[in-house]
This record gives sequence, C-alpha cells and structure tokens, in this order.
Amino acid sequence: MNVLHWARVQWDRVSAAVCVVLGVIALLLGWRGVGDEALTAQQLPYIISGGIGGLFLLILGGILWLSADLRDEWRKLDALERGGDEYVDASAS
Amino acid sequence: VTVTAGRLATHVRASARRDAPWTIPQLRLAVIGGVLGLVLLVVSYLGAAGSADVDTQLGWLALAIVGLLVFASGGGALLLFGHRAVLARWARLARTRGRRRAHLTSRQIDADASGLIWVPGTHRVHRAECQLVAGKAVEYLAETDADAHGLTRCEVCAP
Repeated sequence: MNVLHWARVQWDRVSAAVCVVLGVIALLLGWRGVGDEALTAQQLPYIISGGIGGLFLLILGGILWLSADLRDEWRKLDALERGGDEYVDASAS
Repeated sequence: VTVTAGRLATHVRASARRDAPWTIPQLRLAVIGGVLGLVLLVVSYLGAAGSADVDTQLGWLALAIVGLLVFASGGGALLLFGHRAVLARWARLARTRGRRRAHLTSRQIDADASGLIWVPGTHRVHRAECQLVAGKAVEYLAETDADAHGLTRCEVCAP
C-alpha cells in the first residue's frame, strides 16, 4: 500500500504518533531550557511551555490513538450489521 | 409488510451517522474542552514569560495546570462516550441476534411473493427466493422505494 494512501487512511494514528514525538521533544527542550537558566523566574516559562505543553501533546496523542481504536471497532460493528446475515432491527416484528 | 418511506428514510439517516461512535454534541464538548485548555496554556505561557515576579508566575503556572486538566477532561469524556457507545452497540447486536433466532420460525420468506425484500438493518435488496436471505426475517419493499433510498441490488440473486 502506498505510504501516502496509508497515512491518509490512518490520519488519526499518524497524528497521534506525531503528537507523541512532538510532546517528547517539547519535554526535552523544556528540561534543557530549565537546566540552562539559574533564576526561577526564567525557568518557569520553560516549565509551562516545555513541560505542560509537552504533556498536552502526549495526552492529545493518546486521545487520538484511542479514538482511532474506537472508530475501528465502530466500523467493525458496521460491517457486522451490514453483512446481510444480521437481523438488526428488532422493530421489524 | 411493505416498508413505509418514512421508516426507510429513518434507517438511511441512522446509517449516515455511523462514521464514529460520537454524537455531534459530544464532539462539540470535547473540542470546546480542547480549545479552552489550549487557550489557557498559551495565555499562561505569555503571562509567565511577561513577568519577572516568581509569585505572579506561579499563578500563571497554576492556570496552565488548570488548562491541562480541562483539556484532559474533554479528551477523557470523548473516549468515555465513545467506549460506552461501542459497548451499547455490541450489546444491541447480541440482543438482536437472539431475537432473530426467535423469529425465524414465525417469519419465513414467502417464496412466491413478488417484488423485493429487505432485511432490516442491511443495505441490499433481494429476490424472495435469494439464498442469502433464506430463513431470515424480512420485509417487502416497493422497487421505487429501494431505488429512492439508494439500496443496492444483491449480486447473487440480481433482482
């Protein structure tokens, strides 16, 4: 399968992976920024942008990945109900 | 039993909502949480970077943590709603399988019937004698209704 096509189909998982990578980078940059500064007042902006911003991206990546799993399961249920051998609508009786 | 146009339209509309396990209000809630959290984070960073006073900056840090919690709550709610919807749908599928078995003996296909038949919940119409719907609970459907609602013809019996 073409990589671009795969990325388009799996956009949510690709986005999740990108967010996790960016989150780790943000945490590392924040850690480095805090390490380079001696004053607390200069360290705190790094904690907010790098630390909390990195956590923000990591959480976003997790949400995107888990929501992709939920969508996959939803599509499987669709396939089961549309398969032609399922009697879905109980009100037909 | 002939399917009314209204009932079929309801079925088609329900199918169109099956892209994801969330409703629009649930998605809206999650997006609002995410955007609000992001805004709080950016504002906190700008506030902390624009101040040299540690006490003031700690206030901005607290606001950033609140933003992170708001964002995580929105995302968590989204996953919870989705998980519950998937579980409910699995349960419904299991229930209808049981009901289907119970109906098989009482609602067999009339092989002499004319017109198209439709198994509720599916997207194909069949001939009455089609083996794919043999023994299933079905409803009779006018040809014009099937075309009007975009139901596809069975490739096996080719009605």
